Amino acid sequence: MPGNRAVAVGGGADRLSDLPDGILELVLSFLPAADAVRTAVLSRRFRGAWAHAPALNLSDVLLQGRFLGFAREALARYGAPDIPALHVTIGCECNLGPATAAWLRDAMERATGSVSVSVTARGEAVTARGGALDCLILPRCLRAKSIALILSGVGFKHCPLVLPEPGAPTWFGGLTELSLSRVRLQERVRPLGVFLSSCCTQLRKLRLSKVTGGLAPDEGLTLWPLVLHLDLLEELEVDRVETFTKLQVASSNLRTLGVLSCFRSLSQCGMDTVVEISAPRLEVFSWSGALPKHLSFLNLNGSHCIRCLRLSGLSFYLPGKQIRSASAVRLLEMCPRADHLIVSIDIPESTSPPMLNREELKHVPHLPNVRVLSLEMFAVLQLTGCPITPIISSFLRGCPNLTRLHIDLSKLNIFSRLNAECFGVRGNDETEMKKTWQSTDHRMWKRKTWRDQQQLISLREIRLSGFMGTDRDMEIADLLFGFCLRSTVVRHWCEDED
Amino acid sequence: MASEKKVVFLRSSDGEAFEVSEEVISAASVTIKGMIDEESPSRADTAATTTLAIPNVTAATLSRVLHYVNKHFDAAAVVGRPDDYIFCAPGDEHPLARFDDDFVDVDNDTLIDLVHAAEYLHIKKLFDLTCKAVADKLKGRTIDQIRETFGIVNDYTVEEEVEVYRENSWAF
Repeated sequence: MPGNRAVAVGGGADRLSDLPDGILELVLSFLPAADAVRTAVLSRRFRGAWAHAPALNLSDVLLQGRFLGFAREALARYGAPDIPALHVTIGCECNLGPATAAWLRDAMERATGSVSVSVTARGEAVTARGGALDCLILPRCLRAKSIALILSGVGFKHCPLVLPEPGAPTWFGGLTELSLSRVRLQERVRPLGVFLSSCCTQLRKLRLSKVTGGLAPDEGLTLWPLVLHLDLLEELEVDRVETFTKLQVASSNLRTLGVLSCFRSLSQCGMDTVVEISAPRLEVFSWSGALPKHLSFLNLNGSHCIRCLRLSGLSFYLPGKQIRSASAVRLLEMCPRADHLIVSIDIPESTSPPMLNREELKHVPHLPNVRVLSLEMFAVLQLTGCPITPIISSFLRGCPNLTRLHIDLSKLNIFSRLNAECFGVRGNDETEMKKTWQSTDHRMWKRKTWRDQQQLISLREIRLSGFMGTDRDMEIADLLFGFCLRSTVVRHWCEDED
Repeated sequence: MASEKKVVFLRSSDGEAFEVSEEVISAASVTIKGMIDEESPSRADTAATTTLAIPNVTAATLSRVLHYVNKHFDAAAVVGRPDDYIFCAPGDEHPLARFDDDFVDVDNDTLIDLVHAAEYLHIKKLFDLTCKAVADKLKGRTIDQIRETFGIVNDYTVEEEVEVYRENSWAF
């Protein structure tokens, strides 16, 4: 309040005000813009400081309906035409209209470093906008080096994003990182792949998450191809883009590629889906979910420049059901050089101990090149009561040259497959489980299989996470001690701290 | 032994010397790496260890900084094992996040000393961490609370103050 004057106490120096301009401005850049602007009234030292902060963080969390007015003022009064970093968070449905989209378009043009926009409004079908921003039209020229847009919306009704039309000058030459999430492409003018390949030639990292190809007139989804010719691209991740007909990438610098749950939608079923990767330097490759009809690595086979290929995201479904594990098996065949493997093993509810005989586990592949193996066990075990040691054991036998092993047990006792992460609780209601899996079948397993196993001579380190010390956990520990030599370091992680 | 790790000594403004691995401190601090590089030709063939004077940083602050540096930049513990992320506890966005939170949970003076030290030694991660921690002390506070916390004297005249409030009324 005006007039309330504080006097420094007993010579205690005001060390905050004594900070050099650059440091004080950096401190203010970590504050929400409203807090930063308000510091102007602290003292003369702070009067214009916020206007030179290297980042503006605009959020409507506290401002609600006053957000747009505030955001306009902040940009108008900022101390320079260029803003190094602009971060915008919109959580209120009332701030998702065309006026915000228009303001955003202008604001993005002033950013020289990074731009991030995230719409966090709860998408509820009953509300007018369904939690998605009104149509965002990308400016013709953006100087920002990195852009991350999460424009939200429920189902497939994400925020429409309009790319610049071809013809007139367009400049995105500084852009090295782009992330688009929950966006519905308006591809009347030109496809995203063509736009990126021709206008964003400096792109190093690209991430597309829940990007759809626009709605067809009948409200159905439009399937679309993404064809990228970006030679500088180093990292690409496409996550839950379920409307691809084709994904084609050519980049001699691509090192990391993730294709996560992109070929599982019903509308893709009847299509001739294609993935073509031409990336001679690919090192890290993650895949999850079904494969497309055609998958090829054009110059990966036989290429000698791949030293370390890390494969992750593969899912094996045990036991039996070879069809569901087919994508994982096929990817392993296509990447024989992979020496670092991260897989999840999904044990269906219907699994019972007698099903785990050697015949059923036979399709676990032989992986002599794998040196680092991470197994994430995944099961609603309260329903199955199935012992998991034979499964782990069969995997370990397939990897004779293993040096490091990680087994994650934390998702072994999930309550539901719908929201595994939220309900992942371990060590609950033990008695119920014991009844089922301490059966004679199980005891038989212990005697027969564990004795004839070979030792993993090169194994040096084992880490067990989600280890709770239950009987089943102890059996896994026993199994591991059987496999490893004395020199191995075994680390148990107990994660029930909070 | 030839393979033994080289160390350097850093002498604080109040004369206390701290030992740190040359490799670790070079990875962390641009300033000290520069000092070491300058020194190197003259000590190439001597076994003597180097002592570098850090005139702007007190022993109390320097020991904190080195604690941070050893946690974040010790190659044996952090980098050099590219596959290490699967060996981090799951759910830890950053395995050192908790360490960082505790590290900056200190009084204002100590924190600002760390800001200055990180800036002088040019340790970007620490500089950002400490500046952000200062910002956290301002976040969501009223003007009077901030003035009290940091001992900021309101040097506006009554007229100026009215004017400043009017000028920024859109933010209140």
